[in-house]
Amino acid sequence: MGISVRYQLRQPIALDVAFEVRGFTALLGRSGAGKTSLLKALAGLLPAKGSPWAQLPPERRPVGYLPQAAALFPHLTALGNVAYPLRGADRLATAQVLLDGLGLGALAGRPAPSLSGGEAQRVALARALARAPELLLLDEPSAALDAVSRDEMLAWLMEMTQLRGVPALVATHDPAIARRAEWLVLLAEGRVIQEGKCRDVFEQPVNEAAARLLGYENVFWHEGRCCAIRAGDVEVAAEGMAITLRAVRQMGLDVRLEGGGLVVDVRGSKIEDFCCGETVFLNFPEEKLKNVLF
Amino acid sequence: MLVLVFLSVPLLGLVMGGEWRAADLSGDDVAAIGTSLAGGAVALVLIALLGTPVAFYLARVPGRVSAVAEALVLIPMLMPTLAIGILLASSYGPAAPIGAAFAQVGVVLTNSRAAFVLAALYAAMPTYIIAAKAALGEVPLVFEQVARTLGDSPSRVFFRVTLPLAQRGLAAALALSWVRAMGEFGIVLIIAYFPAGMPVRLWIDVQDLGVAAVFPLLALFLAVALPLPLWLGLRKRGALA
Repeated sequence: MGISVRYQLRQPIALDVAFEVRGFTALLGRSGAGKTSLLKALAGLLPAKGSPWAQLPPERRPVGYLPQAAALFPHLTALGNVAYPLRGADRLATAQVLLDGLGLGALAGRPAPSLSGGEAQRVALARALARAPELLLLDEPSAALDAVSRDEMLAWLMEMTQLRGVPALVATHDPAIARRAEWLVLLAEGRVIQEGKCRDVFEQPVNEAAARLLGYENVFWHEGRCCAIRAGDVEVAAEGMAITLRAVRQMGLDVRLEGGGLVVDVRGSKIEDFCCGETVFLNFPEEKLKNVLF
Repeated sequence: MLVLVFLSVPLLGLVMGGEWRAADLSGDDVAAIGTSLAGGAVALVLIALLGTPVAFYLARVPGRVSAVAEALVLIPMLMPTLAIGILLASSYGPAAPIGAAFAQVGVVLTNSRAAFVLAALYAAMPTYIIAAKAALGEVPLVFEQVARTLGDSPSRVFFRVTLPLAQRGLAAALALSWVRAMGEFGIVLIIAYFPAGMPVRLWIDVQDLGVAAVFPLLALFLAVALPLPLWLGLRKRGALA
């Protein structure tokens, strides 16, 4: 079961959005698109109109909010942080049970500043769950983590939120993270430009902006249809679409070719193998081409 | 190095000068110590209770109204204390409207213990508010925001998050204001000459007995005023655990 969100913000960025949150939902948008502002508005930290909860102060909203840097209270231990929203004499015991249930029991006595980025994020999630929220708001939860830790963290977040049946809205600018979500919402130009099951959205972006948000560097007309394809999926071949190279640059292990409105990453080549003004032929593997629904 | 030696000269003067053999405190000196400590303590409590909300407002609320409020805090801090004393006498004196109103309920605001507290408030509260504003402003807003989403009202957030995180800075602010309250001379000279606090007593003793004779009271004065801010200053710097 999902949560229908309809929110309007004026400051600090104008947003008028309507979308569903279903299970682990990714809110994908470029930096500055308003993802953080939207999450803060849902948490009651920015003024906004809409539903649900827009009339309630932050302390009365049934949401758990995790800002980018976890924001554990530095004057408390991990246990103290998790017990923070709890009331009553048994709050510490309840917090310990919660930490144990999330596999974080060993961190209980550690001062918050001594926790690593990943540990702090996990404890912050435990703290947010302590209030039994109806919705979790996670702002770039893996922004400060390396790739391996990011993957572990995301897998853990998904498992924990699914186990507890709490839907989560995860703001991210990274298509690799969005790819793991159950439901995907694309935010651009102050509105939701597309939403749907993750696979459907990645397979059929609705327009060029959506395709580019999803990480497709190339959006073009091909054989009578509008297509999107990643730079790394285009092949330089003996025959195919001819383009005249406008720019060639080395990008780590790849060489990036640009020309004819297309961007192509060629792996294993050297920049000396190409030169500007040269004509190359490109092949687009059918299984890698995605239809763009203009 | 030369600067440090230069700054240490008053301390050397305290150690090397003065008539320590005849070190003795008069009854008036003891009464002055009592006046300063009691008046300063009352003022410090009032400063913390009244000044902290203002400092928090200045730290958290941007805009013109806040800027005007900060200017109103800064003006008494920047004004020569003698000028403040004269202006306070014209406001809180027995013939002035505010002073007369207080006098009707039995609180005389010139040359009384209440006047000493009043002088200390005007001398020290602006200093506290400005220092406390800096301390509170250093607490990242995100902690307060998260605390709100965890079920706390703004007032609970202040006591459970903001205050603990700003406690060192607030303690330093209080220490600074304590020094200002203890050392205030210009304002008390005009509105609280009696009962004399330590600075006024020192002034009277210097006139009556000479500089060398006041060293015992001076040492006591410094012992009361300096250790707390010195300790807090070094603690904030990290020199002390």
